[in-house]
Amino acid sequence: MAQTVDLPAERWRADFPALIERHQAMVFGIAVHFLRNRTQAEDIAQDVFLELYKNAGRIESDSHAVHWLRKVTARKCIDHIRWRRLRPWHGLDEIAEPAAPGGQKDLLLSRGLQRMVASLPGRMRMAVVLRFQEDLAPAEIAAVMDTTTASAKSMVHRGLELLREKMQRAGVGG
Amino acid sequence: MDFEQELKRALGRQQPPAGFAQRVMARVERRRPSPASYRIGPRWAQWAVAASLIVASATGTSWYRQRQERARAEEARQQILLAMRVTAEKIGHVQQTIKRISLEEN
Amino acid sequence: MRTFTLLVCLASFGLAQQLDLKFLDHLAGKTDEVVTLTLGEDLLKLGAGLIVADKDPDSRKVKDAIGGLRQILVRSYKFKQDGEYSPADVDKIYAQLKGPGWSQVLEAREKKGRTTIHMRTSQNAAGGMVIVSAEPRELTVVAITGSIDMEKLGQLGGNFGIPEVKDAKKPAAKQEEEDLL
Repeated sequence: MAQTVDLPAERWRADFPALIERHQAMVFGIAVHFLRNRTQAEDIAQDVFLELYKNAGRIESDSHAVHWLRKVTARKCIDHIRWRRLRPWHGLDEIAEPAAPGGQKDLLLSRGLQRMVASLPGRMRMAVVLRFQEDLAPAEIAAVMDTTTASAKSMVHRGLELLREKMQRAGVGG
Repeated sequence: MDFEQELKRALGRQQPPAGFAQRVMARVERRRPSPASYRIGPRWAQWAVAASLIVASATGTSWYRQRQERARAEEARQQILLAMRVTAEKIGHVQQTIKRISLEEN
Repeated sequence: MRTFTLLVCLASFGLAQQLDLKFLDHLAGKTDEVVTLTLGEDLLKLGAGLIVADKDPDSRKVKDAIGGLRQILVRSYKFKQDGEYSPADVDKIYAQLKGPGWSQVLEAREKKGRTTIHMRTSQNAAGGMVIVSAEPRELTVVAITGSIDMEKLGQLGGNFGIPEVKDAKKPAAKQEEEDLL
């Protein structure tokens, strides 16, 4: 079993509510952008934090926890759609995104983009979400998704190409 | 329009519904073993407990066997799914590569 | 760093025993991510019972796909750096797949990786299949003994991230839709 360095398991567990508060927007954000369904995204986010709690003894630091959370969230999301074969647009009505600052036009654009992202193939979609929500570099995306840097780079690049094509087809400037 | 900036804005982090942390902690608490109670009740209650234990032990063996079998099946199921996933991913990789090469050649 | 993946679906009788993979055991000490599975016919039936009990159409497809299999062996090693396994390890596996009845049917070669699929035929039916895939940071071996139904395996497309075999000339929009998992 890995040794804890900065955060012994018990102290780490005592801090767990605060840790959830710190990282819940990251975990839930990845899940909701990926699944386009807030109910399922919350279920997955809860499962992710529970799994983190169980693995407290293996977490070495807060930054390690962040990496771990991203990785497990990505894996659970991809597993979820593989098994349930969810079509992302099925859940659209359930989504109630918080109003973005900047008015109705920006809000509509954001929603349109989210919908287009949600229509990308699974792993490519996750790479795009990690790139633009978490601002991760290809090497970091690769580490989260257990793939090569070249593959992560390619998924983001191809994802952007597809999104631009979709934008053009939808008649939105890109 | 700066497309990538718009994408960053659209894909910002999102807070889960209110009370999320409490719901997670409630699930954590449910998983913890509760402290054992050592309070000893009246004699009739002790007899009731003893009787229950006897009944439980009589049916327990069968239940335990079923549970063991179920656990074994569940483990096999997980292993099969894992094996099939590895298989499927590798086949998918080959198919995708071939498809990509085919598209490039065309 | 190299990744090496070998997936073997073997002919219907005892090929898993004929395939010697023990020389890969030393790799377990070089990685902390190892998957080792050996599923015999009994466990396959046991697990298949639960899978079909899922009543999920996808699970039923999995159950159908494993119906004719007798043994599944998986070995997977993920490495933190390149060069943890030697090309000789790969060669030893390929050498065992050059015997009578084996033929390589597909190959996908990339800059840092190579994936090949080999088939072993027995009389009229396809008796087994071997996939060898080499990439930078992973070594995986899967050996499946039994008669494999490629059509059923193909129906798993989408279930595990297997893209279904598609016509490369389909319109892009249609293709994207089908790529969705």
